[in-house]
Amino acid sequence: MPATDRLHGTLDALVLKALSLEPRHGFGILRWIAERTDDVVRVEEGSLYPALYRMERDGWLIAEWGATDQGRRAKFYSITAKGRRQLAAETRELASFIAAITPVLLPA
Amino acid sequence: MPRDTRSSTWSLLKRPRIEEEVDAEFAFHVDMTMQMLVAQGMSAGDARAEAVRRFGDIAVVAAECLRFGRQRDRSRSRAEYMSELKQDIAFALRQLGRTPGFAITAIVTLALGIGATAAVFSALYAVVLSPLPFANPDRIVQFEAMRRGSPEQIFTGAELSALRARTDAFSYVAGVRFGAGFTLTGLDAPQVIGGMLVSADYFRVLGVSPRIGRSFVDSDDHPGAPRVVIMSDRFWKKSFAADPSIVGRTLRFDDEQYSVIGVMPPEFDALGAGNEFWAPLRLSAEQLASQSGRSLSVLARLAPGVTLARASDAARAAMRVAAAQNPSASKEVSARARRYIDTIVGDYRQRLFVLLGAVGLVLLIACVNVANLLLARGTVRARELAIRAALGAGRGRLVRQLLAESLVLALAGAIVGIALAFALVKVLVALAPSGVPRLDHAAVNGVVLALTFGVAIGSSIVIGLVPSLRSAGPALQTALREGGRGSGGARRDPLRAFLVATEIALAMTLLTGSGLLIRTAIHLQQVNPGFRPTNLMTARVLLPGARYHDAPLIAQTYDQIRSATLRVPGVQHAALVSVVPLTHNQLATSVAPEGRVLSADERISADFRYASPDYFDTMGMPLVDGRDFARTDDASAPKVCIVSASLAKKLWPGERAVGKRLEVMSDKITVVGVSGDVHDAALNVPPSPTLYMPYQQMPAAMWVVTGRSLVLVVRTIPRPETLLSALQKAVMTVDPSLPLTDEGSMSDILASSMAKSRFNMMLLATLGAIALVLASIGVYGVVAYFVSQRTREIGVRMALGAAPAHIWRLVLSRGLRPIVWGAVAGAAMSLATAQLLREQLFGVAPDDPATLLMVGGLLLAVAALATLAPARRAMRVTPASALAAE
Repeated sequence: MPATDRLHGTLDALVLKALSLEPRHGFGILRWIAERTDDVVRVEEGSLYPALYRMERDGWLIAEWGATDQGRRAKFYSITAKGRRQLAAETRELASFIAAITPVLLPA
Repeated sequence: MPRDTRSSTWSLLKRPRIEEEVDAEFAFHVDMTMQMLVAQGMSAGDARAEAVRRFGDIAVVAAECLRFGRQRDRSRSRAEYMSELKQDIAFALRQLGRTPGFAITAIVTLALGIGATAAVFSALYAVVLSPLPFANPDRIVQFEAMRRGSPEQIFTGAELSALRARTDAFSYVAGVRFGAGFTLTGLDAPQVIGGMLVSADYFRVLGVSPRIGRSFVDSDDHPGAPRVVIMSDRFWKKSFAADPSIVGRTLRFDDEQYSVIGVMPPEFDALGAGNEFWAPLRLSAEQLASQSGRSLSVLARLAPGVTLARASDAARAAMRVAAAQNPSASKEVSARARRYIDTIVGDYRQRLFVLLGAVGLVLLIACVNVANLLLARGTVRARELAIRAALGAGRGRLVRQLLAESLVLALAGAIVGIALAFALVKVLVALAPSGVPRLDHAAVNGVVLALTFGVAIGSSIVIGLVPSLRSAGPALQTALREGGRGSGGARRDPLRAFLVATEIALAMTLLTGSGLLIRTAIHLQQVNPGFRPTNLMTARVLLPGARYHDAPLIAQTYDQIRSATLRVPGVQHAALVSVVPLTHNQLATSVAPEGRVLSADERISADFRYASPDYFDTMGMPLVDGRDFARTDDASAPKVCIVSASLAKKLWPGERAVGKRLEVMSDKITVVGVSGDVHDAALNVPPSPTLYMPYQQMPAAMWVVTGRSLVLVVRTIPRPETLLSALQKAVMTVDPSLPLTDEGSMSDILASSMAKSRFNMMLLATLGAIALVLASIGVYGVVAYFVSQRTREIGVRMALGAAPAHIWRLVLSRGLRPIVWGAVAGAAMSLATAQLLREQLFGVAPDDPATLLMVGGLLLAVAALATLAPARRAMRVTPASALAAE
């Protein structure tokens, strides 16, 4: 698998995972990822938004305008059934990728 | 966490433009980041700058989002459109289900039109349009020479060599002797199989390799080389049960051993039946340099980048080179290269396109008919549509909904039509005259299906657009006001009258075409062929070259065959001839009266054939002067000939031909008789001047050209077919290994020579009849509708004392007016389109007034008949029933 696909796939998997629990806006997704990885993984805005639009186009996400807790209008994304299938597939591939490279890069 | 995502329903009704969406989303993100950074202690200004910085090149990011967003919107609107279309189609299906009579009429009408179109297109595709089973078939050419003003596709060995030398224009050049027949012995029974003798390069020209075994190589193509043969897939399967070990086996062809080196792939069978084997030509160096004896067809593959025009130039130059080697040969030979596919397809291209045009007219009539039906429904349904419009359906949506209805009709018509086409193609192939190239491959294939559905969608637009635009038009309000009687549109209905006139015009065009072809067939029937075809049997006898190589033995064997045949009971006359009339195998040469030098323009061309004594009596051809050949006119006797009346007139106008001498093929021979003329090429072609020579005087070289074969012609007392096996036995008493081939009665040959024009006539007449029926249904529909809409008015008129004759006139004039207009327009269209048939007509001009009048009269009579029933109904209207209908 080419490296760019792997990167795409990882970003997609993180975003889908973030949305699998509840709908969020883009900022919320970034915060969730940062919190869950103790700020180790820092997704860039410039990567996040094109990914969101791409996944929306492909029917993995749907977006709706709604109001935040503070009453601000924001675009909320939620995951679709197709998105969940994609998440499962990405997770599987990522796991096997890691399993494959771990003994190479981190020999016991 | 969104508080209420559903509250923003405005986004469903009015989706924000994608640019606004991206801007708003990014602005929100920047604000949130800023808030977070400020909360961490950053100043507001720094926080903002940092928030924006985190986007990287924000313009690039936004552009990417926009691109994905637009793609999303496009697929969304497509999906929305599809779902609306689904609704429309479901609604259309319900509507049609409610009026099954209408639906069935419309679907059957369309199925007829679409099915006929698909069937004819299948034939057209198979014969004309489908590519040849060769590599880059467009690059293959066949050469054609113009000699003495007529095109000819055979060349000399020297000409082949000269063409081959033009490697700048042609990658490969191959000589081909088509129509070779070999006697294959050693299997069950001796049989003659057809094939070609070809140069080693032949398969390289075509770009095809055998499926098993090898192709020819140059070393196969020399006089001394071991004899090899490649066979067709068809023959391999039929005679050898697809035995994979066939390569290497030895077969006896004409008493010579040939080893099989390959089998061609099945696609190659498309060349047609009778092409079962290929063997090398094995021309000697002398033959390749010879400028006499044209017997080779020449095919070539164009070199890369060479155009047809350049190829023709190269061919002309090659002809000059070949002619220069032989000063006595004629100098003004012009040549050209034609695409091979064009020479194969020949005039079927034009015939089939005419047929497709005719079928297109039938389809158009069918569409107009259905449009008319829909129009009538449109008026009845005006109220329903008005209500839907009042409830907020936009005009576009209404039009689309009506179009969905016609689309459903057309697609249903297409499905039934395709089923019909499967059957029609079979009928077409079965009825077609033999020898239509590639027709046996006609089938409803993917291309045909695609075209059919394209045609169906086109038809649905034609039949749906006019009525739907009108139904959904401004007349809606009137429809509501008039309480659903819908009479506003019906009182004056120029559109429907126009449609009826169109139908009549189209039907007239078709009927004129078929009328012309019918008259052609009648004229052909009346042509005297120049011989009596009844009770004449013909069969070809081939003497294998291995045993029959010298001319005296060949002549003697044929004489024995003729004598043996004459002993068969029931045989009245028997004769031999090189070629029987109407079989397209004539050989031609130029002749001159003795002692006169003719310029190129005066050159007299004549078909020539070799015949035995009693040929003219056997055929029932009159000898108008002089004597018949005798058995004593043999190789040792002075050379003699008989000329046809038309040749005598050309050679010695106003003088007696018998006793004079003529020069032919560097020989001087005496005319001993003059025969009647025969329609040799076809009944619709004037008799060609013909030279007959006794077969006993045939030069040895000519026996090679004719393949040592002659046709046995037998006049029988009983039906000729009944004597076939007795004739075969008689021939076998002379040599048991000689089979008869191409056996058939002369009546059959005559019939098959007319089969092409009969076939076209039959098809066009059938289409014309369908058109007539459809058009009269259309007329009936319009008049019946007119009467039903005006029942009340008619009742009132009758109550007020109108005479039935008056009502009769009212209704008839109503029905007939568009018919007359249609007939006038149809006459004009017929005059234009009949020109396309010009080449297929005989004895009748394309603008034949009698045909036009007859067709016009027929059409008017049928149309008048169609108005009669509704007119009678109108007369039976009583005031009471008219009021009750209210």
